[in-house]
Amino acid sequence: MIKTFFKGFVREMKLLWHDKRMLFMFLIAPVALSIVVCGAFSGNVVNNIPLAAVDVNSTAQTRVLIEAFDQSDRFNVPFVVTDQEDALRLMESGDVIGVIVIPSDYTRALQLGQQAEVLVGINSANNIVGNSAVVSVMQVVKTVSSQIAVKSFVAAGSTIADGTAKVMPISTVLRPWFNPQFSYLTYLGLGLIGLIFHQLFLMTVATSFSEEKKEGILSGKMTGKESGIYFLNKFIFYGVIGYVNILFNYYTIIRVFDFPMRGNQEDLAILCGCFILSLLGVGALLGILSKNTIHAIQWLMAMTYPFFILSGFSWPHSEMPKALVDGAQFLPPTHFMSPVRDIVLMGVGFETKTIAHSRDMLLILALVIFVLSILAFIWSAYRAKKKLQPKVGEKGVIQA
Amino acid sequence: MRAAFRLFFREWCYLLKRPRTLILMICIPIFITLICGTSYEKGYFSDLKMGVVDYSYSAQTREVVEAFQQSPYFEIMGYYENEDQLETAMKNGEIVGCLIFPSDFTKDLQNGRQAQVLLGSNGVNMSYGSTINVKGSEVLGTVSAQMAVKSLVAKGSTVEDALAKMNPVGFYTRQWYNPTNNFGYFLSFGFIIATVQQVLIYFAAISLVREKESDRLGELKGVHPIFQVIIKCLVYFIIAMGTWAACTWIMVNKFGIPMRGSAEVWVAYSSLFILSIITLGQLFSAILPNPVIATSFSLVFTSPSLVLSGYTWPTMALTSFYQRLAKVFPLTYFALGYRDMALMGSGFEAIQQEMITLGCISGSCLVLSCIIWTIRLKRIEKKDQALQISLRDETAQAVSRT
Repeated sequence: MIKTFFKGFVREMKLLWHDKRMLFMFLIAPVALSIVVCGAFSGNVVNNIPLAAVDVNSTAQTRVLIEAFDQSDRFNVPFVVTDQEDALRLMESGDVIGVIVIPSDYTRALQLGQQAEVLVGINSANNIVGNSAVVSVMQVVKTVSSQIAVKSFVAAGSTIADGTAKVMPISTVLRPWFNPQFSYLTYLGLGLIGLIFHQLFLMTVATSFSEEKKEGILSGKMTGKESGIYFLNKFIFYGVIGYVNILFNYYTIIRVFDFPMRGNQEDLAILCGCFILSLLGVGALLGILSKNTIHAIQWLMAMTYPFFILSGFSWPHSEMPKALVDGAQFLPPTHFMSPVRDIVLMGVGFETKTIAHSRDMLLILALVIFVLSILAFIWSAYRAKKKLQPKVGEKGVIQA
Repeated sequence: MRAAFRLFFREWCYLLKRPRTLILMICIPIFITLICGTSYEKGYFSDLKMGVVDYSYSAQTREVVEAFQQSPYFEIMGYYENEDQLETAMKNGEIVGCLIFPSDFTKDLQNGRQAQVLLGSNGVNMSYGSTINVKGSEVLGTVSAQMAVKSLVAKGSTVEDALAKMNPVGFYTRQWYNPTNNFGYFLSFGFIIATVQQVLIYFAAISLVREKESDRLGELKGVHPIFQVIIKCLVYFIIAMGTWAACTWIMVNKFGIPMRGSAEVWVAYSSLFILSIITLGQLFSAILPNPVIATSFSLVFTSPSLVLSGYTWPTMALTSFYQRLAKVFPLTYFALGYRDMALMGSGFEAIQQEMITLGCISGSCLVLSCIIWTIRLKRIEKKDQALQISLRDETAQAVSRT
């Protein structure tokens, strides 16, 4: 039995080694795709957002305002037009992301000591970029406004500090906790690596089980004992390699893209282990139940985005309907993508309820799906064996 | 001609006999549309849980906290003793943002100095963070302006004069094309389009090579290889357009996601995108040796496409290498342009360049797949002929020996 067990390992290694496509998908593609995806976000923040200014009466005051936007790291003002329609056209064609509309009475209002109003429109079709642009717009306009107001107080004899305090009694400091640069890479990177690995690992395991239908443990050509041992071999083999692979992926990405590792490395390693355990069962089940390898891959890939959305990684579960949140509890990515981000960026660990719950759920899922995959395996192996057995009539013919 | 019709119906029969294929091609995009619509139904954040650390507990700080409490976007969960407690609460998920008043906040205000308040957010999830920054800054700006105006009004100014003096340049922001800051408008199109792309490219990628794999090339013999490619392309095009139309109908009519573009633009733009995906898939199918490799290759090809398309992370923020890489994917020319068309009502002139590029991709992929498939079929035919001749020779030799 021990000999068969070790023979099974050698068999798995050979199978993987000879299938270059699978070798690439399993060992190289996860880290390569993760680097490509994270590299795309390496700019961290969106700067130099192009704006168009609508300035009907070009005066010194309006130019100060436009200049303030242009000087800011966040914005560029490549277009100054006199008609709002032109500005909107520029926004529709994608040349600018926003418009500053300076009304015709802007300078007059300032000269008469009245409040002048400026409209700043931002294309918010992309909410996150739109929102951060709006915050920056507020800061620029407030700065210009305060400068004008403070000047009048200084002219009346106040100091600059007193003038500023009168004009803006409360100043706001923004602090995005755990992601001080408010970086897109920090927000999405760690979860996307998990999703890429999830898909490629499942594909490898599912393919490996599905291929067994041809000549292997699901072909009915092996003894029950041999099939059972090889089945376990597969779990252990892909479990160990997958675990090393996911740790390598996270280590590489954290190092290459300078993610702060605020949490406990052991916690991250344990969670990765639980994730791999749960995926092994899912992959095996998919491979056994699918008719062939292509079917398994197609089902898996079609579900990429549902997994991502339902995991609550980008849009939180607190804002989703309960039925969807309940359904998402049965998906391994739900208990992995956000918790990994929390461990790495927030420094939380299993002492936190949510992370401990994720670990427990992954283990429960792993156990339940493992049992289901064993049942599916027994049923599939039995059917394959039955197919190979000659029918009673055929037996007679063969004997004859 | 008759053979071409026979092939057209044969392809339909192939798909109809395999419900899995139709489920994947039709039901999965509709399923993701329903998931997106339902998940993002609310679409914006409200009652964001905020914690307060107030080292300068006074009427003024309570006024600021009250202003946050009154806002529909925030819910004050309670006061915490210090920042450590606040951080722990954030780690436990009790709060997603905070207000910190330093100990000299009230003193500064009373002494006529500028007081500082810290508006914190959990930046790990930027969708929370960006909303807290925008809405929180608005609330704090309003409170600050009120305080400044009050001081002048107390000295005898009118509210208007005081406002003009304290805040000479007022502004109002307008979030164009997505005024309610709805995340559903922002994200749904991207996920649905990417799913349609993924499902479609897998089927297109095996459409030709599966005939070789299943030894059914003989059934196609009456049809010229170029027509084989075109007919298969047509079948997938009809199914994909139908599915995409159903997804759009659900988005617009069931979930209220706007479609401001005209029907003609929708048809033309969608057709070109779907055609480019099918022809690209067929090109893989014509080149790659078997369906498994064709499917796997399509997977690796499509995986980073949404990220690189500029849909979530704008192309202008990508490095030049990534900007060049992004140009390879048809999705880059559709996802962003489609969202603009739907939300901004962009017409042909705005997406002209994208449409031309999609047309070029479709045309070149179609021509290439026709050429490669024709060559491949000829080679297979030659091989078969050589095999038959050698078999015939062997048989003849065996007969002569006997």
